[in-house]
Amino acid sequence: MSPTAVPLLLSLKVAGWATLLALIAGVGFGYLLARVRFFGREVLDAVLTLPMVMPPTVLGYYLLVLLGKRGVIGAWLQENFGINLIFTWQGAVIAAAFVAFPLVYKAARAAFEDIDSNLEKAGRSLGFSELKIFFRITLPLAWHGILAGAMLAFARALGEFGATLMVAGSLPGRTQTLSIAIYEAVQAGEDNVANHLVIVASAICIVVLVVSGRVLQGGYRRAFRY
Amino acid sequence: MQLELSIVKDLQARGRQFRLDVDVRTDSDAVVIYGPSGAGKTLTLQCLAGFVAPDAGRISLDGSTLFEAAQRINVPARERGFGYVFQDYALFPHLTVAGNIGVSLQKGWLRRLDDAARARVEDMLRLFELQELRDSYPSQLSGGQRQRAALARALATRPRLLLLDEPFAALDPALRDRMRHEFVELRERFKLPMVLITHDPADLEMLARELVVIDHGRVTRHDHAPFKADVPQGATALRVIPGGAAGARAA
Amino acid sequence: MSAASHVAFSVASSSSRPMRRRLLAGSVALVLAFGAGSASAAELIVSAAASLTNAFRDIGKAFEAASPGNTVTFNFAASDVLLAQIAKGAPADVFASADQDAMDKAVAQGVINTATRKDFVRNRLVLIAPSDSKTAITGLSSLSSADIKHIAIGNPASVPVGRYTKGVLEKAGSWVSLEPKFVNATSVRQALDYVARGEAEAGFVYSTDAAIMKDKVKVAFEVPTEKPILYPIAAVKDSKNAALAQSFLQFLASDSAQTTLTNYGFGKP
Repeated sequence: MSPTAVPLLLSLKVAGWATLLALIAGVGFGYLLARVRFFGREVLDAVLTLPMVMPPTVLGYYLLVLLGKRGVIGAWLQENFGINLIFTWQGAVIAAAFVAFPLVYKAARAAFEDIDSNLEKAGRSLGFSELKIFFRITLPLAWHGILAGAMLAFARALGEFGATLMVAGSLPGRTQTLSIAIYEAVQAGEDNVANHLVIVASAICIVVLVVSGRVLQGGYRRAFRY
Repeated sequence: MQLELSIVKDLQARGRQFRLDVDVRTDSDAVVIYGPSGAGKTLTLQCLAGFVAPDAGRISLDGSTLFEAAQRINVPARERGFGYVFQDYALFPHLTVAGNIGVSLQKGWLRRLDDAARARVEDMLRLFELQELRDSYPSQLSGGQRQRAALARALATRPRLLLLDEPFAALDPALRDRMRHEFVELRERFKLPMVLITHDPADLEMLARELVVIDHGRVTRHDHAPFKADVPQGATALRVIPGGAAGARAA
Repeated sequence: MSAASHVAFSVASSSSRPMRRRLLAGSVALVLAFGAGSASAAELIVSAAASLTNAFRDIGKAFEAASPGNTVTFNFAASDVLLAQIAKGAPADVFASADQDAMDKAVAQGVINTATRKDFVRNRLVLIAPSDSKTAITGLSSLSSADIKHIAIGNPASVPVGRYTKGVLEKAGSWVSLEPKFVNATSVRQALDYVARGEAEAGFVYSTDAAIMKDKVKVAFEVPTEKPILYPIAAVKDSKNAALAQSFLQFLASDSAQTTLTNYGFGKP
């Protein structure tokens, strides 16, 4: 049914890119706060966790104000690159990435902190550069927890609605994601369409959960810890 | 080897202050650091290895300075060329035994092992009798096997000094005795200087040519071999038999 | 303040029976506070089209003043959304829609007391642009210009102003060609906001909405519609406050309510 295919594919595209962005930023910040002690570290942690607890509409509003034509960042983008993120799927990606980021960040930080520091010291004693330690020791031992966070982030990005609606609006075919399509179908009293979309959305969530369960389980079977 | 280790390190743990203030100068090849738990032995070894930077002082080996607070010299651990065996072995859980031994020899992003490196891994596996366990993971090994793997890994890089933190502590007494003998053989074979931390008086007798006792963050005794293994548990006082060059230094 | 110290004092004193009584009293008070509001005076719930927000809020205050002891609670959204809520059992007493379509749907679904239905105001459709916009918009054909990248319209499936807009653009033959530029708004006020913020270079709203944000938007021109824009209002069928709903409907005809509506730019039906 093509009324469902378009918002579905759009949602998957937006959620995919958002998870990727959240992954890069989340692993980066997670590593920084897990390994480096600096003044104000826990304050930064609270700030980075904020998008998770903030109402999505509040976050969406802040993003709209910042990224809009008259916003600090939006005006800069418009002037220098001719880019406007509002009403674009890229804007939807940004909004979804913001709400998904804390999920990856928290999981990554916990995963990194969980690693026995002696292992990294062992790497140093063997002559490893810090980069080699990160890619050969730290990341392989942390990727499980990070992946779990990424799965949650993907599910969250897929279902993201409030912030996305504010920033990207509802443009059929371009920013009308699955969640927004459901909302509009209900608003228009099109219950049949709404039901159909909801079933599709639920099926995807279940698939994500099952796949992530399999992946994580398979990893644990690899006798990871002493 | 000629080792100079004069460092000060202040730590705060659980609201209590701890000050490590040790001064060790030795040219012995087999130094044993002995002392009760919490004395600062591991901290000393970690400073020597370069894992922890002291607050003040100087560390030098065979004339080259590894650490000098006043001149802001701090050679990173990866460049010091020391092997380190941790108390819990710290084997990489996601690599096999062969992987653990070989990982330090891999070059480049594709993790290549050239022929020389491959040969060395084989040597290590053979020397430590780990050939049949080469594809096993650390979690599948017994305590003794892990210890051998940890040693093999440390020696694969041909270090110039071996640091060991209570290497036999986790083994049962019979195994411990056997390992001690093998260890002496190993030391002879590789002609490797070492600094070893232990709780166990028996280790002292077999392995040490020089003894440093650390208690409450300070060196309380610095003696030369031979030693009689007549030491009450955890005590800092030792009875030294006559004939040994006693160079006791009170802190 | 005194309650807190009272409780503190009772905790300090060690005998248990007065303590238990106070705990009981405390919990009862909590439950009452949570469930309060249902007992006392009548509360009228009015679901009205978003464009009526400002006018109805003022009228609501006047109504409360005129019938003491009663309160009016408003629920503003796009007309179809309000209808969907009522159809699913939302406890609204009065329904004011921005077009006949929504009210007709309501009647068809059997949720309206049809005897009370009447048209009560008139409105006009206008094309607006951000107040600092430099683009010249002289007629509907201006919308095809490359300077107009986004046009804010109400979603025709659920917002009356979108339906009026679609009617106009279909008649002009440009509905399909302009479609890539449309930004669906969930209500006329959201369409207004998009233009006020400058994110949309043009938008279709009612003249009354444009007047609310005089400083941020300017009216390019008035858009003539096929049918006149007449707002119907009616009492909801299974309302619990039928009498109060009736008096509200009558109040709309009063001088004060009419003046308010005129001040906001609504016309007589």
